[in-house]
Amino acid sequence: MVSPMLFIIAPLSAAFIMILFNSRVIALGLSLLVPIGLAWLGLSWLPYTLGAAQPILVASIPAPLGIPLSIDALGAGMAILVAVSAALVVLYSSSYMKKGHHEVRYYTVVMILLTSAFGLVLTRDIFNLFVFFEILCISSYILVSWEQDGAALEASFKYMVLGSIGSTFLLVSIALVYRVAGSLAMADVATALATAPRGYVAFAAVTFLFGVGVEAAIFPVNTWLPDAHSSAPSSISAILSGFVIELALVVAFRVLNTAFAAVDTLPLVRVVAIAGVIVGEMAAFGQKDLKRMLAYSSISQIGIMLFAFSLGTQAGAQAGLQHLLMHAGAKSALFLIAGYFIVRTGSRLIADYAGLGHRMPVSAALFGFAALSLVGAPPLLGFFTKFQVLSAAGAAGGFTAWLGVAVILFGTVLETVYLFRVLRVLFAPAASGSPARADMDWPALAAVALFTALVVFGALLLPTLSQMIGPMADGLASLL
Amino acid sequence: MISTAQILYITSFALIVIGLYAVLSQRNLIRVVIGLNIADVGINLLLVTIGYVEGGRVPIFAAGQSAGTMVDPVPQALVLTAIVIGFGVTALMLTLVMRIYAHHGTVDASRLRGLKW
Repeated sequence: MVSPMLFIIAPLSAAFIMILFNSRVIALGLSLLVPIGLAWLGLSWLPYTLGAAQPILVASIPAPLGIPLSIDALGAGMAILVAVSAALVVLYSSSYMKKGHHEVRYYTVVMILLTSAFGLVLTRDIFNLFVFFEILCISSYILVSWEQDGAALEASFKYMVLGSIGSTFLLVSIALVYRVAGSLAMADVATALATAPRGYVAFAAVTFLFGVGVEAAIFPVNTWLPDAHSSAPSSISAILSGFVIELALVVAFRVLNTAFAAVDTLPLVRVVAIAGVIVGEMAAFGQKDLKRMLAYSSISQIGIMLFAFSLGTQAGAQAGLQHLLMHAGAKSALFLIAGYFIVRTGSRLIADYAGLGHRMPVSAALFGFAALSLVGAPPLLGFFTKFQVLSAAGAAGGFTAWLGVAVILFGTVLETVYLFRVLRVLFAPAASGSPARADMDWPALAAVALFTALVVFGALLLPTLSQMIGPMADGLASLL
Repeated sequence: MISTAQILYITSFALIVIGLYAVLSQRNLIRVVIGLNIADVGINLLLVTIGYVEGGRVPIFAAGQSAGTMVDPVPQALVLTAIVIGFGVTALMLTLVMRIYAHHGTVDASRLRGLKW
């Protein structure tokens, strides 16, 4: 077996090698090969982790120092999602990024972002978690400001300020935890916090939630997201909305649910999740800028996933993870296509896309499928995942669960209206004659088609998927 | 009588609050960065204080000494990491402020449309 340590080592070494050679071909080749190889590595570990009752320890220093890295079913699953998404986004970037526009450095930063994403999946140490979080944040700041125009610089600065405040909270929480636990390994922390004063643990847990909540875009600390995700290059928007916030969400929830298990944070989490759904959908409804609309929609979708997790039931965790998979596919496709809409029209405003469906028929059709899945139209994957979230909430019962169901249904109505508004503009009669066809370049089209295929045919995978998702959902609630 | 550790805890939380207040109240981007740095110092102090032992020794083993009277070295290692990360983030932020100034000719957040929060 190849060691999962490669998840961290391979992208990091690739980053150094490509900056050393400073050649576009080497950079592009490595950034395609590394995620593909790591996706295979994740797949090869998946059967073992599914069969194992406990996470498999990858590397550790003897206790009490620990600093363990382990892989479990949830970790393997998230790693595969991250690796596949990254490979497709790199494929898209190969035609989307302007040639010679510091391209090698772009791929270097993407590789560093991947390093931290895989690190977050594997680590079982809260300070290591902080370090990987910081690497993730810093590489995101750099990628958001990539275009270096006014909006991107301001968005990146705003993201940095809020991200740094989040890191401050996270570090305070870690300090508070270490003070009573005397250890940083999550398993030891969970044991020690079980006997600590409840008020103290609750304070540390809430500090932790708002610390990591910034990166996971949990309401109300997500005000950076619409600016950052809309001002970044579209390939980066797809990475950030496609797996970075989801990954942060899963990691945050797992730590809250395990290390801080001594206090019940689920009611608080559920309230912020529901608030996120409603605020995100209402804000998206009023947007005229396509990427901003998609970014606000990410806030509400994150809310739906967090709501499903916060139900505290096995069904809820499974539904949340399936919805996460759907959102990763659909939102990545939508952002990637929006990127080419902007390239072809030179505008980010939806109103300027009138009749674009005739110039870019394939892209617009793929956009339609991804949007329909996001809304939850049967028989696309989004219908099944959203239905499962709602039925899990119904099974859990209680006032806040039903409130969540009502809010999600109301949000779906809003979502349908604003996404159909975009589709109506796209397929409006062309203004003058029959314009020349100008679909996406083929590497980009291939990447988008694969993302869209996931959400269109994903429902066929559900029977296979549901056998794996159970152990993965257990990973949200167990540690060692 | 207030112990040294209590004074340090109060100081560190005061620094964090002052820093965050500066970040939220100041319009000048450079001052925002300085505010974050003050908060960073507060956290570093908090971490070191957690490992502090009244009358403790340097955590280096010599012949015949036990770990009992040593200060805890782990938070000190964490602080080193936190300082390095803080330095990197500060450098990146100042670079962005420079770019924003070159682009808009101002570092006043109230005059930058994208920086309202």
